[in-house]
Amino acid sequence: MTRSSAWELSGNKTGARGLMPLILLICVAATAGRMVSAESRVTVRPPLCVDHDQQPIPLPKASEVSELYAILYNSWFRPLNLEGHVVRANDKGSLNVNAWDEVPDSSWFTNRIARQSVAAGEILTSLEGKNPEPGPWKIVRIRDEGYTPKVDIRDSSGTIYVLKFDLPDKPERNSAAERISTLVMHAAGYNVPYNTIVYFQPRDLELDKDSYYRDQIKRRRPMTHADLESLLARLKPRPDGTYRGMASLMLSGKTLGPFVYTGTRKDDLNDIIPHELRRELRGMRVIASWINHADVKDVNAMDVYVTGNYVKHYMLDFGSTMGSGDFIHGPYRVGHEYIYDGDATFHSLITLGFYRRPWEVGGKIIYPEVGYYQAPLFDPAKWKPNYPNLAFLRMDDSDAYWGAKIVTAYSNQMVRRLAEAGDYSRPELTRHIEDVMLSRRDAIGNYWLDRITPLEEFRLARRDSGAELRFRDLALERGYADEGVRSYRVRSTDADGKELAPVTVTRTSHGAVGLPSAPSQRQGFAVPDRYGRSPSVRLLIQSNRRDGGWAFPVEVVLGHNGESSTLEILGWYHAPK
Amino acid sequence: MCRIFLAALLHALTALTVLPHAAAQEQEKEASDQGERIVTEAEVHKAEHPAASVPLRFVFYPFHLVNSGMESGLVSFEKHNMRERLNYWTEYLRQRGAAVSIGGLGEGTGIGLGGSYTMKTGGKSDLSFLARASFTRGYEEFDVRWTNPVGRTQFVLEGSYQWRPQENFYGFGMESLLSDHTKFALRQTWTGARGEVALHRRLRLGTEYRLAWLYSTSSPNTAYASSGAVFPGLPGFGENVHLQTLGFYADADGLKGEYETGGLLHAGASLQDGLGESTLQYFSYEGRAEGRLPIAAERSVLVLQGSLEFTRPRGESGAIPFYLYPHVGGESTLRGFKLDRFYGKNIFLVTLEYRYKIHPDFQALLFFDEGQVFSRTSDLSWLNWQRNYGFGFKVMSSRSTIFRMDFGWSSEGYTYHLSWGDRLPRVLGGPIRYGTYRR
Repeated sequence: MTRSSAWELSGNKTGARGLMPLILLICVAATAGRMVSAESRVTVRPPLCVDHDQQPIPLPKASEVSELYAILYNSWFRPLNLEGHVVRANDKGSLNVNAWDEVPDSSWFTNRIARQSVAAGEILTSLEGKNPEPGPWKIVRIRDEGYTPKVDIRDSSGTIYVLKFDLPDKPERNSAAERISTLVMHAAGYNVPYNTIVYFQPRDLELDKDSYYRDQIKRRRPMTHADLESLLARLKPRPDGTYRGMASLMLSGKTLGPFVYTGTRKDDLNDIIPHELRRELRGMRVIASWINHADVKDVNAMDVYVTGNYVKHYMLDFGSTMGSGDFIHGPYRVGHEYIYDGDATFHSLITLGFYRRPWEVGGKIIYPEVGYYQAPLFDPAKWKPNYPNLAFLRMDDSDAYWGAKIVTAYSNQMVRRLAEAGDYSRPELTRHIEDVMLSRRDAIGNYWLDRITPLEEFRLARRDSGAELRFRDLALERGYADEGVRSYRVRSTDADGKELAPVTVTRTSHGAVGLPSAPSQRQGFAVPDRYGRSPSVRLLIQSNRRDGGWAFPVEVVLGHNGESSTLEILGWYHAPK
Repeated sequence: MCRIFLAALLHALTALTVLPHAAAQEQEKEASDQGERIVTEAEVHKAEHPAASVPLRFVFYPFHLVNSGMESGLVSFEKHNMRERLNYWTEYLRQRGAAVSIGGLGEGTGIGLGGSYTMKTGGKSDLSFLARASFTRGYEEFDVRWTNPVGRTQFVLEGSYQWRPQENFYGFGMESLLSDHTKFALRQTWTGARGEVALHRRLRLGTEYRLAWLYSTSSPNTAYASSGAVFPGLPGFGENVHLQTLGFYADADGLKGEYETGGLLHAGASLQDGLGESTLQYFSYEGRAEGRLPIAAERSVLVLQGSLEFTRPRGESGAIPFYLYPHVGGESTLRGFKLDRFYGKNIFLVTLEYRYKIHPDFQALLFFDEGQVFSRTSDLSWLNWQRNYGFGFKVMSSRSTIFRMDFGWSSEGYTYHLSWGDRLPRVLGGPIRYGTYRR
């Protein structure tokens, strides 16, 4: 996380990753002068709900990425790049954020649960796609890749799916995790393929006339029944003789290869925002922490050239989420440390191994069908993917709040429906998943919505004694703050940062605070921005934290819109820098 | 100014038009959605290239260049499934008895390549051939071995030829000088038979008989002085030495996993007897012990190793050729010293090593080595050790070490050792120089 704010003195200590003192010194020196000027005038982000990045473009060239490179570079070489540290220290926040501190809809993200309430049942039905038609499925090819077996099938309607299977000693684990996580990511707003759990008899699988097998070194040959039998021999049938699989509908459009979590795709003219500066990728760290999606990586993403001649960006492969990540040093490391984690390794090394990481001592798997997906050792602030991801590293408090807002929007009922979507054969597995998801969701809410003032949907209201600012307090609504002691501290300045009134503290649980003094008339010197807005008042509102301090503020900007003489709310932003 | 603002406030608030929030927001949103982007390219550029980073962009240009090259290379590597192909062909060759090895013939022998081929010769017996050569230092080796296991016993016939053109010699004893660094070449050919019986799963006894033909001469590397020139009258230099060896050994191997409690013991004794007109006759005694104590389960372990070699001339033995003396220095002994830095009749060596698993295939280690060479037991001084400490890294595969690096500091400064592959010590030492660099 990155952060540089005068408000930091009232917040928790951030978990800033260890930079070498020298690098830090240079970064601070390089940014010091700029921090002063950054606070000089209030600005408001664009009032757009849609980022129009779906303009027709020529077909981009397919690209390839190297996972080995991503691991090597992100784990070992990137920290050596001093320029990167300076850029990171100068990070002013995500770029694709609108006036209401939301991510506008785009080819990357569509606001669903973040903007409106979603019915619990809808979470299961809103994913576009359909299950494979029953009847014989023609095997197009067997893929000898990944660590779970998979085949491409064509159902009777001619639709192609990738059919993935669970490992025989961990039945249901990967398929359930993939189904649940797909639904979570979709409801959150990401583009995902249609993934569903299917059951079939061995007789349902037939060889297609053109079916082929491609081995590890990509040699292709016609597939035989022996290949099919060999595949089935690697799977564990259910007691009724059927097999369980995860059918993933092939994406429609021309696949262009993965997108990477940094930079842009140069031949996609719509892709102008560096990916590490996209909030939906930075804030995804919090969502990923919820479902333990440690396998977030370039190769699990896909760009698709779709109807309309633009590039749509998908997240793929959630088969290693929750407790399904059997990675290097796994499974207990997963989510706690990177594969190569310099800090953790250093601590163990200098203590000659006497220091035991908490997960080394307390990590345990209760159900093999679930794997290592737990709540007691989950720390929302410290969760890590398998190797550093630049977008995640650039996540700041604003992004984290955005992610937490989404995670905590999943109601208990929704979580229950999600757990049921895993279609576990034993009810206790469903209950376990539900319990862990709820506990982790609440851990995220308790941490991030306490750390950052969780107020939304501001509006001005008139009352007898003057005016007040009304809002929704997500922490109160979602049970992460105590109504009895809820307080807000308000500081008001004019557009140039000059104090307008003394700081006020209001104790209330009704989602409203009295407004301090503010300029009402249009100021002659206020130059409207390109949307005709003239900010004139900046309110910094902080909620109280459980530890007695004040959370990072939400900045609410008031001003005039167009020629209007009425003071309005122009926008807000959480945890401004 | 502030007072004016305050006074105007009440007026403003009474004039305030309070719209339902959601509707107001929607109005604003819809009115503003005119096909615009959320950010302009200028804003992106400013965010992506803050002024403070501009000078560094030039400084780090080479870094980006190397990085870009590495990315292109690895993308191509993965695109063409090179890793899978390598594994496939390695396994393909292995199943047919063939293997390719990268590395030289031991520590300090340079970069080389080699290959081996093993063929079944009936029952459980097999015949293997190994050939290696280093390109950079000119080392050569060719080995033949026939192995025939029968029940708990094993019978081995072996033959080997080695050309070792750049061996180091600094003189004898602890007082030898670094500045006296010389090089010599050694040609050694030997053949022998070995019989071994496993009394227990972890206990083996064996005996070995060898015939060896040895010859030392000046090194072709003229950048260094010849050992014969700097140390006139060096026993064995420029001479053919023919000898036979008969020895016995016992091994108790209690090592389990790399990071598990365990230990091993080795003891051996052999008699070297010169052939022809040679009066050379001496005993060699050797012992090794190792103990491992895990610190963190499956992650780190403390390893304590000790080894000793004694040379005892028998009767009126002729002078022992200098290259047959035990020697220390280098990756498998004293890592803060140059390879083969100290020669002496007897050596005593202790090593304490902390091994830490960074990754199943990647190990870091901290070490402390202490050793001494001495002529007689009475010369062994508890105050006269050569000591060094340092750290290292080891890249391993599931079968063996792929690459290792050690950095050591000693009274003679620091040195580093790089080696590819690994090679177990011979079951019985004796008069053969053998590139061992496995711990």
